[in-house]
Amino acid sequence: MSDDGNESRDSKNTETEEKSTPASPSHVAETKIDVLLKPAGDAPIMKKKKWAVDRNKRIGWVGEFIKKYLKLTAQDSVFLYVNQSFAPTPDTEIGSIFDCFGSDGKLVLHYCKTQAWG
Amino acid sequence: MAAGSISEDEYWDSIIFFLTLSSKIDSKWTIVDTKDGRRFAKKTEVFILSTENKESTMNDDVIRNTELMEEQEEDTAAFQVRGNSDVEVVTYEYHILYSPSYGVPVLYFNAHTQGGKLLALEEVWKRVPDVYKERLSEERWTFITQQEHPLLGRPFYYLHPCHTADLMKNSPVLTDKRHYIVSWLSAVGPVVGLKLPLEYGKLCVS
Repeated sequence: MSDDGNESRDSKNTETEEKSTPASPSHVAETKIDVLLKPAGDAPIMKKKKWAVDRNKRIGWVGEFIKKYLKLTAQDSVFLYVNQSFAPTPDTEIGSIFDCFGSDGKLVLHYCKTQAWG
Repeated sequence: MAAGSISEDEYWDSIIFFLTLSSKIDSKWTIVDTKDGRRFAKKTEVFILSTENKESTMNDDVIRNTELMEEQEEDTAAFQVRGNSDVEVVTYEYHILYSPSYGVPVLYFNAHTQGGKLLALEEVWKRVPDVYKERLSEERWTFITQQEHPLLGRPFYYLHPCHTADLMKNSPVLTDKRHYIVSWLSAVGPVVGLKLPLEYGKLCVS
């Protein structure tokens, strides 16, 4: 999530490392939020759980990202919860969510998926 | 009870908790008592939608407009009197009831134009934000149909409860069952334009 998306296919990368590209100035690192993704219900476990996400990314985008990462079908839904009990609307920015619910410099998000029909 | 469902007592405990949150955050939810002693939770939301671009309606700008309007009632009246024809005022009404057969809450809703005309389902869907539109068309957990409101006897749209238990059983385990309504409504509400502010997630009732 912290660069052009290649990171999601890079299963060797298990830590949150800032991938600085020539295009990203150093201060961009300060606007990224450390997100820790935890599965809920029968959601598959993600190999890479820690991600650095731009503050202004919407949480809906994170949900779509997880859906692709886990290779879910179009009929599956991914829901993200904070505080284990509240799903922010998909258009809420990660930065705002972190400001409200972040602790120890990171934001814990639980993700779950619903069963496809049938 | 089946996984993901709650008893009616747990439901009411959760509704009371939810209403307490509402009274501290935005005071938008109330309890309505019917003539025959039944009750349900209700919220009304006015959306001022630009008729020019119906595709991107119910976005944050529109809702901010609406909240400003609600605070300044005189301005609202003036706005309507000007007879501005390139916007439409749509009033949404959301009700939460309990389904004993599914053991879950059910979200009923209706949308009316200023003239009192009930919006057809097609028109409701057109106003769903794009990010949720994909969900409605592709994701089978959302299933909106119309049926007679169990307590009011009028036709209402509702989100079919058949997948609610599935959704809730896969949601993070609740430390307190009273958080059930917040967990459920925050997840399903946005599809029908019902947004809960982040504050609800703090679950602070004191």
